[in-house]
Amino acid sequence: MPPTDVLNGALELLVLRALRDGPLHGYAIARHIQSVSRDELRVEEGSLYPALHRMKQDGLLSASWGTTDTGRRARFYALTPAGRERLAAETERWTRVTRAIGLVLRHA
Amino acid sequence: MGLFARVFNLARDRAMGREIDEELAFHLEQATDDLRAVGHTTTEARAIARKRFGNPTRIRERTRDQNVLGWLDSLKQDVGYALRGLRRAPGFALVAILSLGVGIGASASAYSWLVAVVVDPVPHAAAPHRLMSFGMVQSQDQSISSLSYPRFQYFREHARTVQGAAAYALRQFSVRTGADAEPSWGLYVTADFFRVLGVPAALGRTFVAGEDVPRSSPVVVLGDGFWRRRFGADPGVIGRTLRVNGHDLTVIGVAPRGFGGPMPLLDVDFYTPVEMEPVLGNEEGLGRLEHRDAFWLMGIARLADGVSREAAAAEFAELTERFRSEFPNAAPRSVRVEEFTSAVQQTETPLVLRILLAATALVLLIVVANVAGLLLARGSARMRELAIRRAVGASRGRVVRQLLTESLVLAVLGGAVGLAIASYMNRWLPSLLSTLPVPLTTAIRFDWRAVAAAACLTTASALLVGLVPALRVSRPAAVDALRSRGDGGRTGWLRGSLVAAQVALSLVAAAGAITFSRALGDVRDLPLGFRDPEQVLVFDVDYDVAQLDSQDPTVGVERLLERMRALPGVEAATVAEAAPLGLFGYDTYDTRVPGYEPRDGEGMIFATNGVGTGYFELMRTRVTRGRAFDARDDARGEPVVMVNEAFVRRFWPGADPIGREVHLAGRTHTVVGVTEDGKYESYLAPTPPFIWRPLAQGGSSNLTFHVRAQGDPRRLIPALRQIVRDANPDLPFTGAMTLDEFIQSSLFAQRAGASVLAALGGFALLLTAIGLYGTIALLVTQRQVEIGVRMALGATTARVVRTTLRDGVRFTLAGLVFGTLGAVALLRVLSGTLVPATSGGAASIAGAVATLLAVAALAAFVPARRAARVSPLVAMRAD
Repeated sequence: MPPTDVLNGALELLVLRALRDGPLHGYAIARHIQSVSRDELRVEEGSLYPALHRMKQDGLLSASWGTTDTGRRARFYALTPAGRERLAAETERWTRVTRAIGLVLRHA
Repeated sequence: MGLFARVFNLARDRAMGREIDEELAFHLEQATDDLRAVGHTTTEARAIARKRFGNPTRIRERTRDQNVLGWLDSLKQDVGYALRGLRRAPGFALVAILSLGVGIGASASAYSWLVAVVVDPVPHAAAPHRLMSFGMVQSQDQSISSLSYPRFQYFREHARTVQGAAAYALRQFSVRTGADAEPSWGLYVTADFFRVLGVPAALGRTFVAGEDVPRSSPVVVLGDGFWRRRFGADPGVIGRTLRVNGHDLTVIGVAPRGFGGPMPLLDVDFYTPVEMEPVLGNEEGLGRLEHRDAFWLMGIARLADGVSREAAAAEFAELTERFRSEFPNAAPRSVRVEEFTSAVQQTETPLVLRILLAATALVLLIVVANVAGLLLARGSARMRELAIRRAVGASRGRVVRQLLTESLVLAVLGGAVGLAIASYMNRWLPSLLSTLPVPLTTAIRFDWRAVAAAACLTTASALLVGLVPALRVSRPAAVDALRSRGDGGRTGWLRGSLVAAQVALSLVAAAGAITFSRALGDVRDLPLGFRDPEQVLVFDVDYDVAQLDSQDPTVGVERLLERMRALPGVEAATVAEAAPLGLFGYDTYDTRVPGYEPRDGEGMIFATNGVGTGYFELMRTRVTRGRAFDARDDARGEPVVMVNEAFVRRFWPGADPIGREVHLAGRTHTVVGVTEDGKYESYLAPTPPFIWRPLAQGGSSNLTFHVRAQGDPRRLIPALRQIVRDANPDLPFTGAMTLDEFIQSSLFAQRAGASVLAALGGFALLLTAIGLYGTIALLVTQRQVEIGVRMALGATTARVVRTTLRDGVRFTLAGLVFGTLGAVALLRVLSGTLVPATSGGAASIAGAVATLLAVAALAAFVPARRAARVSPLVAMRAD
């Protein structure tokens, strides 16, 4: 796997994780990450949408227009099989990297 | 995603933009709702959401960049943006596109010509590098070799290193059209000619074995151009007859389009078996076909597989030895074997092409420098615009891409203009050669490789230079450009060097152009050895062709001359074998001067002209010693010759030449007179020894009539033609023009070179003027504030103009120094080959320098004055 920027990789991983249980629109993805991380992580809109479109281009996500509970038209993103694979791989790699960083911090 | 979907998406471009907008709007609304839900007012909620959201334009741009369409989408946008930008700067766009167009067009055309003459001189020929030319020479420094028919047959029968050998000879024929005899150019070929070249017939067939029996094969293969001209490209032409020199030949085939024979640029009208020469040439008695030492054919052969040219040359040399031992009486000759393509380049034409090519390379370089300078200037001028775009959210890559797209759009438009220019030039250049009395290919095929190469070169340089401002502005610090107005020292330096380079290159081009025009004038002033050629009309009448005897009392020369002299306005009329400075030169003779021992390798072959009575009087050529030919010098008289002063200087320096003997082709002649030196076969070469023979003692039957007239001699042409036609309708009357026009054609290489150089030189000057103006104008604009301050502090207008001028002229001077060096080198190459060595090069260079300085001063003066006129207040508020 090519080395990816850690933070970029992190945002991608968070988006993939947010979509694991079903399709969400962009705003909901941002809210989901924010609430699950107990407001520790705030997703910049300026990064989110470009990331979503890039992931869609890479074939990790699919997108379709739908209607929200409040009756508004919104664009819903869903994982593709490739996205699911990436999620598994990334989760594994992330765990490894954070464990490694933890080790370094503890022993340095 | 497949290509189809991408294209589909591209079409949906606008919808895509709307989708992103809608998605982002939804996000904002949703955020506003949530904020309202926790107690904010609607206005507050909206403001907070928007603030948190950040710059929507930036997000949108970046999102779009991630789009499926990626580059395709933004490319389309960039192209649109570039086109809008160019429309806003029409002057810049026009100059850049035109310069690119001329650069690409000129080089593509020059290269197409080069391909036609040098690289691929015989289109349709299979594997031309396996072809070799061969023939006999007296000494190896002789440039053109030739064969007799028996010698050719000997090689063809015995050579094992070649797959096939053929011979050919170009001749003028008279083809009967209605009442008139129309001169046409045909090629005598041996039966294997087309097979050796590997050229198939486009229609019908080429010659086959059995069509090489002397006198028994009245067949003809038409050239494509002739077929289209004479037969309207009628596919039913096979089997019809063509009346050539009074004989009917059956058409058996048509050569493929673009194939004009084995000489570059030439378009032969038809091909007929060389074995028909005894019939068509009316030279049965001469036995040209049987004569071992009648050298009139050119040989061509195809190397056998796996045989090198060296091996073939060795075998041909050995065969030559064997031939000599079998026929001890044959003239001693050695064989010369050359690569075919290099042998066909031994004409004057490539000289024109070389000039064209060099001039084109110069212009191309100037174009590159000019366009680079323009782009650089434009880039600097747009620094702030770009910085603003960057600040409102365009990514760095996007801005770079945008600038590069503009360069590319320019290159594409320039390429289109270039194509138009190249196709025009390909038609214009043959017209430069149209004075030649041979059928030339009327259009040169486009060489797409040339267009592509030129386009790549200019585009690459445009991109490279376009990159400089793009990279500068894309650096994070470029935002400073918003605040400052300065143009970096390094770009200034780069632009200065570009201007200097341009000045240097155009100086070389201008010096070349001036030298050529001056040289043409000089050449006209050279002593010709005859006078008032504009009063003399020349035309050819070929008795051989019409199977008539030039001595015949009813249709012969004397009868025609008598009738011509009787025409009103005719002062004198006579004949000669050839007119001076013609393209094909004179007959040459092996010469021996008793008592003179030639040094090793000294050529003893001299040009001669057989002339009729009254020739020297008519030509106004001075007889310096002895007497001119007169009635005594006929077939019954003692064989005599006259020589020129150069001949006397070489063989009898300081002695009296009258009464001495000269052996021509083994026959003894007595010198009766000496003429002044003149020009015979070349304007530029030093005067060679030359021999005059009286026609009454023998010579060619293809005669050039000379008629000196009062007033415009051309108005006599119809009457003269009528006299010849009345004598016999099969007598071809060809090439009537004044002697002045005739000798002009021998200058065609120089004239074509001069026209091309003058045109390109003028264009180079224009480009340089524009480049200088653009650069200096920009410099001034950038320093407007400074100038304003200085004006406010009391500097005079004159002083400001002077300072500004100095900046512009500095680059120019640097360019002039280098340009002078280049021009000196160029003139050294040209001198003695294309212009007489006597032409003053220094004056040409001085003229070019003066011209360029004037251009530079003017280009600098106008913007400088404008700057000095600006009110200081306006200048300082310019932001």
